[in-house]
Amino acid sequence: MGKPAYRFVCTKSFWREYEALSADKRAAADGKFLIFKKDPFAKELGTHKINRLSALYRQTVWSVTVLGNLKSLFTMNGNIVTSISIGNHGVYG
Amino acid sequence: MLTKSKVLAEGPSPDALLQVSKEWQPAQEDEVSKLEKRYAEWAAAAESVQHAAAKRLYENKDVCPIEVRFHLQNLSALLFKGQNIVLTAIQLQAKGEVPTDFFEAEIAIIDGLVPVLVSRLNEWHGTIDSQTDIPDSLKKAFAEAKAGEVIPFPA
Repeated sequence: MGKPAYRFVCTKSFWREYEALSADKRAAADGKFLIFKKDPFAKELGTHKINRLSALYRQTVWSVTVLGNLKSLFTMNGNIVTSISIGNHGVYG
Repeated sequence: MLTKSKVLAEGPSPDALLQVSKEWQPAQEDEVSKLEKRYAEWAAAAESVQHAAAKRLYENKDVCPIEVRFHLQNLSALLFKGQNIVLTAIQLQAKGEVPTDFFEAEIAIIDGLVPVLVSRLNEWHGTIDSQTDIPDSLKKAFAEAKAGEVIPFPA
Protein backbone atom coordinates (compact mmCIF):
# COMPACT_ATOMS: atom_id res chain seq x y z
CA MET A 1 0.00 0.00 0.00
CA GLY A 2 1.44 3.41 -1.00
CA LYS A 3 1.54 6.59 1.03
CA PRO A 4 -1.77 8.47 1.26
CA ALA A 5 -2.44 11.19 -1.32
CA TYR A 6 -2.48 14.30 0.83
CA ARG A 7 -4.16 17.57 -0.06
CA PHE A 8 -2.23 20.54 1.30
CA VAL A 9 -3.94 23.76 2.32
CA CYS A 10 -3.00 26.61 4.67
CA THR A 11 -4.59 29.49 6.50
CA LYS A 12 -4.24 33.03 5.19
CA SER A 13 -2.27 33.77 8.34
CA PHE A 14 0.20 31.04 7.45
CA TRP A 15 0.62 32.55 3.97
CA ARG A 16 1.18 36.06 5.37
CA GLU A 17 3.70 34.75 7.92
CA TYR A 18 5.51 32.82 5.20
CA GLU A 19 5.69 35.89 2.97
CA ALA A 20 7.00 38.00 5.85
CA LEU A 21 9.96 35.66 6.44
CA SER A 22 13.45 36.88 5.55
CA ALA A 23 14.87 35.54 2.29
CA ASP A 24 17.12 32.99 3.98
CA LYS A 25 14.34 31.70 6.21
CA ARG A 26 11.95 31.50 3.29
CA ALA A 27 14.56 29.53 1.34
CA ALA A 28 14.91 27.15 4.30
CA ALA A 29 11.13 26.88 4.51
CA ASP A 30 10.84 26.14 0.78
CA GLY A 31 13.34 23.31 1.15
CA LYS A 32 11.46 21.81 4.09
CA PHE A 33 8.10 22.23 2.40
CA LEU A 34 9.29 20.18 -0.58
CA ILE A 35 9.89 17.33 1.87
CA PHE A 36 6.71 18.14 3.79
CA LYS A 37 4.56 17.85 0.67
CA LYS A 38 5.97 14.38 0.01
CA ASP A 39 5.57 13.21 3.60
CA PRO A 40 4.62 15.48 6.56
CA PHE A 41 6.16 12.91 8.88
CA ALA A 42 9.50 12.56 7.09
CA LYS A 43 12.28 12.06 9.63
CA GLU A 44 14.22 15.20 8.61
CA LEU A 45 11.24 17.40 9.53
CA GLY A 46 11.32 16.40 13.19
CA THR A 47 7.52 16.32 13.21
CA HIS A 48 6.13 16.13 16.73
CA LYS A 49 2.87 16.68 18.59
CA ILE A 50 2.24 19.89 20.50
CA ASN A 51 0.26 18.48 23.40
CA ARG A 52 -1.17 21.61 24.95
CA LEU A 53 -2.26 23.17 21.64
CA SER A 54 -3.77 19.80 20.68
CA ALA A 55 -5.77 19.73 23.91
CA LEU A 56 -6.95 23.31 23.44
CA TYR A 57 -7.78 22.87 19.73
CA ARG A 58 -9.41 19.46 20.40
CA GLN A 59 -7.41 18.01 17.54
CA THR A 60 -3.81 16.88 17.21
CA VAL A 61 -1.54 19.79 16.30
CA TRP A 62 1.83 18.84 14.79
CA SER A 63 4.97 20.93 14.63
CA VAL A 64 7.63 20.78 11.93
CA THR A 65 11.08 22.26 12.47
CA VAL A 66 11.82 24.63 9.59
CA LEU A 67 15.05 26.23 10.76
CA GLY A 68 16.27 26.47 14.36
CA ASN A 69 13.40 27.84 16.42
CA LEU A 70 11.29 28.50 13.36
CA LYS A 71 8.44 25.97 13.38
CA SER A 72 5.41 25.32 11.24
CA LEU A 73 2.19 24.00 12.77
CA PHE A 74 -0.28 21.77 10.96
CA THR A 75 -3.31 19.55 11.56
CA MET A 76 -4.68 16.59 9.62
CA ASN A 77 -8.28 15.77 8.77
CA GLY A 78 -8.31 12.58 6.76
CA ASN A 79 -6.01 13.32 3.84
CA ILE A 80 -6.24 17.11 4.22
CA VAL A 81 -3.14 18.67 5.74
CA THR A 82 -3.79 22.19 7.00
CA SER A 83 -0.78 24.36 7.78
CA ILE A 84 -1.90 26.74 10.50
CA SER A 85 0.96 29.05 11.26
CA ILE A 86 4.71 29.49 11.00
CA GLY A 87 6.70 31.25 13.70
CA ASN A 88 9.29 31.01 16.44
CA HIS A 89 7.23 31.62 19.59
CA GLY A 90 7.76 29.07 22.39
CA VAL A 91 4.26 27.59 22.00
CA TYR A 92 5.16 26.40 18.48
CA GLY A 93 7.17 23.62 20.14
CA MET B 1 -38.57 -13.74 60.30
CA LEU B 2 -38.34 -12.53 63.85
CA THR B 3 -40.64 -9.64 64.57
CA LYS B 4 -39.64 -6.79 66.86
CA SER B 5 -41.86 -8.07 69.65
CA LYS B 6 -40.45 -11.58 69.33
CA VAL B 7 -36.89 -10.23 69.45
CA LEU B 8 -37.73 -8.30 72.61
CA ALA B 9 -39.65 -11.16 74.15
CA GLU B 10 -37.33 -13.99 73.27
CA GLY B 11 -34.02 -12.21 72.90
CA PRO B 12 -31.50 -10.93 75.39
CA SER B 13 -32.09 -8.05 77.75
CA PRO B 14 -31.81 -4.53 76.26
CA ASP B 15 -28.27 -4.14 77.66
CA ALA B 16 -27.21 -7.50 76.33
CA LEU B 17 -28.84 -6.67 72.99
CA LEU B 18 -26.77 -3.51 72.82
CA GLN B 19 -23.63 -5.51 73.44
CA VAL B 20 -24.61 -8.09 70.80
CA SER B 21 -25.34 -5.31 68.30
CA LYS B 22 -21.98 -3.66 68.97
CA GLU B 23 -20.22 -6.88 68.17
CA TRP B 24 -22.15 -7.39 64.94
CA GLN B 25 -22.06 -3.79 63.70
CA PRO B 26 -18.92 -1.71 63.32
CA ALA B 27 -18.87 1.45 65.42
CA GLN B 28 -20.45 4.44 63.67
CA GLU B 29 -17.86 7.05 62.85
CA ASP B 30 -18.59 10.55 64.05
CA GLU B 31 -18.78 13.41 61.52
CA VAL B 32 -15.42 14.89 62.52
CA SER B 33 -13.60 11.58 62.08
CA LYS B 34 -15.29 11.06 58.73
CA LEU B 35 -14.23 14.53 57.61
CA GLU B 36 -10.65 14.00 58.75
CA LYS B 37 -10.55 10.76 56.79
CA ARG B 38 -11.96 12.45 53.70
CA TYR B 39 -9.39 15.22 54.00
CA ALA B 40 -6.54 12.71 54.25
CA GLU B 41 -7.84 10.97 51.12
CA TRP B 42 -8.16 14.30 49.31
CA ALA B 43 -4.61 15.34 50.26
CA ALA B 44 -3.22 12.01 49.02
CA ALA B 45 -5.23 12.34 45.79
CA ALA B 46 -4.00 15.91 45.28
CA GLU B 47 -0.43 14.69 45.40
CA SER B 48 -0.95 11.66 43.16
CA VAL B 49 -3.04 13.57 40.61
CA GLN B 50 -0.40 16.29 40.29
CA HIS B 51 2.30 13.64 39.94
CA ALA B 52 0.33 11.77 37.28
CA ALA B 53 -0.45 14.99 35.41
CA ALA B 54 3.22 15.93 35.26
CA LYS B 55 4.25 12.47 34.12
CA ARG B 56 1.40 11.68 31.72
CA LEU B 57 0.62 15.15 30.34
CA TYR B 58 3.00 18.04 31.05
CA GLU B 59 6.20 16.06 30.43
CA ASN B 60 4.87 13.34 28.12
CA LYS B 61 5.88 13.73 24.47
CA ASP B 62 3.18 11.45 23.13
CA VAL B 63 -0.08 12.25 24.90
CA CYS B 64 -3.21 10.48 23.69
CA PRO B 65 -6.60 12.26 23.84
CA ILE B 66 -7.91 10.01 26.63
CA GLU B 67 -5.16 11.31 28.92
CA VAL B 68 -6.41 14.84 28.40
CA ARG B 69 -9.83 13.69 29.58
CA PHE B 70 -8.34 11.91 32.61
CA HIS B 71 -6.61 15.19 33.46
CA LEU B 72 -9.91 17.08 33.20
CA GLN B 73 -11.71 14.45 35.29
CA ASN B 74 -9.09 14.30 38.04
CA LEU B 75 -8.58 18.03 38.40
CA SER B 76 -12.34 18.63 38.44
CA ALA B 77 -12.75 15.87 41.06
CA LEU B 78 -10.09 17.48 43.26
CA LEU B 79 -11.92 20.81 43.06
CA PHE B 80 -15.31 19.21 43.76
CA LYS B 81 -14.15 17.01 46.63
CA GLY B 82 -12.07 19.80 48.16
CA GLN B 83 -14.97 22.22 48.23
CA ASN B 84 -17.26 19.47 49.52
CA ILE B 85 -14.92 19.01 52.50
CA VAL B 86 -14.81 22.78 53.10
CA LEU B 87 -18.61 23.02 53.00
CA THR B 88 -19.02 20.09 55.39
CA ALA B 89 -16.58 21.73 57.83
CA ILE B 90 -18.50 25.03 57.60
CA GLN B 91 -21.79 23.20 58.22
CA LEU B 92 -20.36 21.47 61.30
CA GLN B 93 -19.22 24.87 62.57
CA ALA B 94 -22.66 26.33 61.89
CA LYS B 95 -24.30 23.51 63.88
CA GLY B 96 -22.04 24.35 66.80
CA GLU B 97 -20.63 20.83 66.80
CA VAL B 98 -17.05 22.04 66.41
CA PRO B 99 -15.08 25.17 67.35
CA THR B 100 -15.16 28.14 64.96
CA ASP B 101 -11.55 27.57 63.92
CA PHE B 102 -12.22 23.92 63.16
CA PHE B 103 -10.35 22.65 60.09
CA GLU B 104 -8.87 26.12 59.48
CA ALA B 105 -5.48 24.83 58.28
CA GLU B 106 -7.03 22.16 56.06
CA ILE B 107 -9.42 24.68 54.50
CA ALA B 108 -6.47 27.00 53.78
CA ILE B 109 -4.64 24.16 52.01
CA ILE B 110 -7.70 23.20 49.96
CA ASP B 111 -8.43 26.80 49.00
CA GLY B 112 -4.75 27.41 48.24
CA LEU B 113 -4.87 24.72 45.58
CA VAL B 114 -7.97 26.15 43.86
CA PRO B 115 -6.16 28.80 41.75
CA VAL B 116 -3.50 26.26 40.74
CA LEU B 117 -6.12 23.75 39.60
CA VAL B 118 -8.26 26.37 37.86
CA SER B 119 -5.20 27.69 36.06
CA ARG B 120 -4.20 24.20 34.92
CA LEU B 121 -7.78 23.52 33.79
CA ASN B 122 -7.76 26.66 31.67
CA GLU B 123 -4.29 25.97 30.29
CA TRP B 124 -5.31 22.52 29.03
CA HIS B 125 -9.09 22.60 28.69
CA GLY B 126 -9.98 26.22 28.07
CA THR B 127 -10.14 27.91 24.70
CA ILE B 128 -7.19 29.03 22.61
CA ASP B 129 -8.51 32.60 22.83
CA SER B 130 -8.45 32.54 26.64
CA GLN B 131 -4.71 31.76 26.81
CA THR B 132 -2.49 34.66 27.79
CA ASP B 133 0.74 33.09 26.51
CA ILE B 134 -0.47 32.40 22.98
CA PRO B 135 0.19 35.24 20.54
CA ASP B 136 -2.83 36.87 18.90
CA SER B 137 -1.49 35.99 15.46
CA LEU B 138 -1.62 32.28 16.33
CA LYS B 139 -5.10 32.62 17.83
CA LYS B 140 -6.21 34.22 14.56
CA ALA B 141 -4.60 31.42 12.52
CA PHE B 142 -6.40 28.74 14.54
CA ALA B 143 -9.70 30.63 14.17
CA GLU B 144 -9.21 30.69 10.39
CA ALA B 145 -8.46 26.96 10.32
CA LYS B 146 -11.51 26.18 12.44
CA ALA B 147 -13.71 28.26 10.15
CA GLY B 148 -12.31 26.45 7.11
CA GLU B 149 -10.82 29.67 5.75
CA VAL B 150 -7.96 28.03 3.90
CA ILE B 151 -6.13 28.51 0.63
CA PRO B 152 -3.83 26.19 -1.34
CA PHE B 153 -0.48 25.58 0.30
CA PRO B 154 2.48 27.49 -1.27
CA ALA B 155 3.77 25.43 -4.22
